[in-house]
Amino acid sequence: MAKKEFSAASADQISEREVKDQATSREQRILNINFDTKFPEKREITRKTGHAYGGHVDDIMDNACAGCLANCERAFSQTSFCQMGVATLIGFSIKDSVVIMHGPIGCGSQSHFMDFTIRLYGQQRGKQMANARWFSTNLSESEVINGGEQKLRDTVLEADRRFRPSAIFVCMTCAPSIIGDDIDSVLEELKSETTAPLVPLHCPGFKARVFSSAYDVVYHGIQRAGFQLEPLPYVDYEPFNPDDPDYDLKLRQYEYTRNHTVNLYNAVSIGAQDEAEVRRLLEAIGLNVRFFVEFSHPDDWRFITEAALNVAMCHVHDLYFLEYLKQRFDMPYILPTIPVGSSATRQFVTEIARFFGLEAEAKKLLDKEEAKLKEALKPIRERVKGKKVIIGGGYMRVGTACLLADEIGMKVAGMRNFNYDTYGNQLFQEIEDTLGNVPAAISNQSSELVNMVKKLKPDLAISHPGLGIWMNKLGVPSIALFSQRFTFFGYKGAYELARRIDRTLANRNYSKNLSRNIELPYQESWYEKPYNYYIVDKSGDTADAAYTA
Amino acid sequence: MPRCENPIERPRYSCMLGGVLATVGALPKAIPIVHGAQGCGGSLGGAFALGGAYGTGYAGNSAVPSTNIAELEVIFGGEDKLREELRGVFEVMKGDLFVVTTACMTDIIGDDAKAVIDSMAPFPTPVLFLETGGFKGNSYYGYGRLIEELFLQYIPRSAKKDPKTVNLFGLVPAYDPFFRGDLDEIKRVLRKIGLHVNTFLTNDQTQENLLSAGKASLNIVLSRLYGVDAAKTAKETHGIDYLITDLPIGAVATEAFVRLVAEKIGIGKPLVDKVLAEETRNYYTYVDRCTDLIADTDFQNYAVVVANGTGALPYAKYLDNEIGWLPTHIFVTDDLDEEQRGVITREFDKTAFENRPELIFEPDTSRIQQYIEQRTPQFVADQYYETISPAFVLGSTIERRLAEVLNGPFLSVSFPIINRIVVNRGYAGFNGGLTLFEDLISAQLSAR
Repeated sequence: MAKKEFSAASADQISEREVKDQATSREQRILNINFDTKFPEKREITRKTGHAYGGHVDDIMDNACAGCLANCERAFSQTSFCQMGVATLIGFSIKDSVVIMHGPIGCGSQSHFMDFTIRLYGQQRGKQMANARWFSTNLSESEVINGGEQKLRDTVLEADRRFRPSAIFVCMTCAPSIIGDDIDSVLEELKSETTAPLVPLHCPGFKARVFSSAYDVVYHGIQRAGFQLEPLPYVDYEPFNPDDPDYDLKLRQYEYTRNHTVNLYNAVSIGAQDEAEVRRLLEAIGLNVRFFVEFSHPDDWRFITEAALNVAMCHVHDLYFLEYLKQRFDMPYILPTIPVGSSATRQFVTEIARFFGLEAEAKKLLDKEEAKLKEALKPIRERVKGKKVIIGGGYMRVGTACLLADEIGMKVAGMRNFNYDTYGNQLFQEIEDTLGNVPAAISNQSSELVNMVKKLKPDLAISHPGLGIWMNKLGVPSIALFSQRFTFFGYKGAYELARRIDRTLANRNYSKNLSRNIELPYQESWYEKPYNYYIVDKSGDTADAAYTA
Repeated sequence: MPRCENPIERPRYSCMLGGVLATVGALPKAIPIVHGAQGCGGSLGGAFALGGAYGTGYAGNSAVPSTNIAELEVIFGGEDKLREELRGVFEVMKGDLFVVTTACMTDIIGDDAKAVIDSMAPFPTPVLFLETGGFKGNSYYGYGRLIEELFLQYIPRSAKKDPKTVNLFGLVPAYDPFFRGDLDEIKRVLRKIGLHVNTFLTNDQTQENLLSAGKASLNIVLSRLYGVDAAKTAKETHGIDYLITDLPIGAVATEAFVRLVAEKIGIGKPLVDKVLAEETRNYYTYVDRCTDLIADTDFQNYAVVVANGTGALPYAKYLDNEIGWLPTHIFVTDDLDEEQRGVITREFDKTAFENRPELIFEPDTSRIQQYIEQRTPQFVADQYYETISPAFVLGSTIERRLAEVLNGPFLSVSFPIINRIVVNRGYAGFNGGLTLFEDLISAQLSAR
């Protein structure tokens, strides 16, 4: 296997002693961010996030620590997603916002689908959302030569006049980035002319391999746009009067509420029912729970700082913002895990409870909930046990879904993570300890996926949207790794996901029939090669070296 | 070429690369290769999926090979990356035809992709090249340019023409959401008058259809705007005559279309008469059976049509000429230059309407609703006023909102369609006309 040699070769570059050091430093996390710059660095730099690798759980953890995952590239690649597309996801789901794609007409032309998603998902949260409203600055060839700043100016003013939006998110796409349009100056200039806050998003697709860099871009923009993140006296609250005889009591009441309030950060991949389940569990131990920033109005953000703790429901999204809130407002945060499956849910609730000194209450609740779930999963377990599953998508979802699959007796044949960095190590250590050294790829490439599935022959796939099609073509039924339609979080989510697995396995005729009747676009010889054949370490040799390997 | 003069709110099309990716992916076992950033192919696949859940197919979306150039290549050039990709493509991918395309960033930095391809030729499978930087035009323009390049680079020239072979062009995959059903039906009808028809984009097509396209005696362009330049090029390079016509929807329009084609090719009147008699008899026997409902319920409506330059006029024509409705507004949503607007306007003027609707060119989404609201008396408070009521809206899924405002039913016929999936449905021809009739009436019954 050519690639086994490659993995070994990259390990050789590090002395044995260093390898041992890394093994003990799996808990260390790489984070190198600067809030004062015009735009944030991509995650390949700030977290040494890797996007290409083939191996097992143990080597991706070690290589994440050494930072060398970020050096891996591909000598043959297929198209995927860009950070600009991802950046629009938050922009659209801010209540009453407008998004501007500063670029030629194609950038963001997939955004029509956001229209029904934000309206529906808003509705599920009791929020009346406007349509997904967006503009393209529609740059022409001549503007790509002469600059598109004037058109951006016109577009921002038109967007503000037409919709009076809560915020205008301006996405900087590839073309204007290369020609050097200065959107920061344009937006700074226009600030006094618009009623909406203007949020610059530096998200040209070519700048980041790791497209989840988009979340840092958006939070960087939110932070730079200067939204008010503290309540305003006489607008949001009446300051207590020290001469009031009840002053001490009122102050204590206020502080009690604040000290029992926790902020949770959501994302487009997290559904209203997920939020409801997490709320149920945390309210049961006496906490006051609030969700930010999606499906909320920027005015609501003034209350963000009125909480004792910030918690990321999936830190792939929110770490950047939580770190900012910590540095700027001294708000503590924790990154427990994503609460999918019993083990992760226990960890999630327990870590939050520990911060508030409510561990005993949490344990009581979790024991009870877990016992109930275990009982309910019994018949499902009987039906699905031993079935092989392959799971692919963002690494937090993938990792926790692996643990859930194990919980219901399935065998995890392999995992495919879109990217990976040290922030996954705590979870992946648990996977290694529980499931063993599972085959693990870092890949969103469909050719690598097809190759891997041909070898691992799973019974079921749990896939990130966009890739399930290849599973079905291969005769493997596939369910979504996340979807606002279903519950994934907590005990309710674990049961629902188990039920969906069970239901999907109960009749596989759709994918069976499909696979019998279609042709795959790959050479037979491709399946004889290892799936990571084209992944090369760009830090040392050129791609050609790996080519002949 | 689109004007690109103004910013556009929620444009109903994508860029040149977007149109080319949708079209290459619809050709038989053809695979596009993107020389561009990693998101271009994926996002534009997300865009054409909005044409009625038009999916990956043989090798679209996530299967599309892409050089995924990054910051380093934007600074130092991406030609090496293209060379590397082209080496890998033939080891991994299996296709009958490859088309190398470019994106904004590779066109701006000035990569000479053509030189890279030439230096690596010959390839085991034909490889075409087309510069497709997104800022060069929209998806319709991309479609037209691709067809043009197919004639220039791929379709063999043939001195000998088969008088009975015709090629169909003008419908853009996904951006004309019913292109497959429409082409299948036009093909079915033309076969009945003895023609051999290449569609290139339907499920029955193979490379053989592309390779024999040069033998055709006529290129039929089912759009007043798109594919026209390609047909003109094919006339120069391949000596194939062309016929530019509207997409025929329903019995009236299709009968005229068949006669036009038959006359152009010189097919005897007896055969044409026989086929058309058969088709119209069948058509109206179906319509006859529906008429109890129509007569008893008064399903005649005013209508607003919102569609692209290919579909807008034909849909309105069907409503007026075929089923006797009263289209009041026709919105053409493409970003058209003066010349293109002139083409549509001239056709509109020539079209016989019982009640002439208003023709409006408006690519900017909420201005469409605004246009009606600001000019229609039902939004003025008065006791008696002439309303657009009962109203029916034919448009994209976006127009559902307009239908709510006009308090009428709605059918999605133009891009983007996200409220239903399009499988083999088509609205062109005789059968398509019946299907459209069925859908228009069903939309008014669905709440029962």
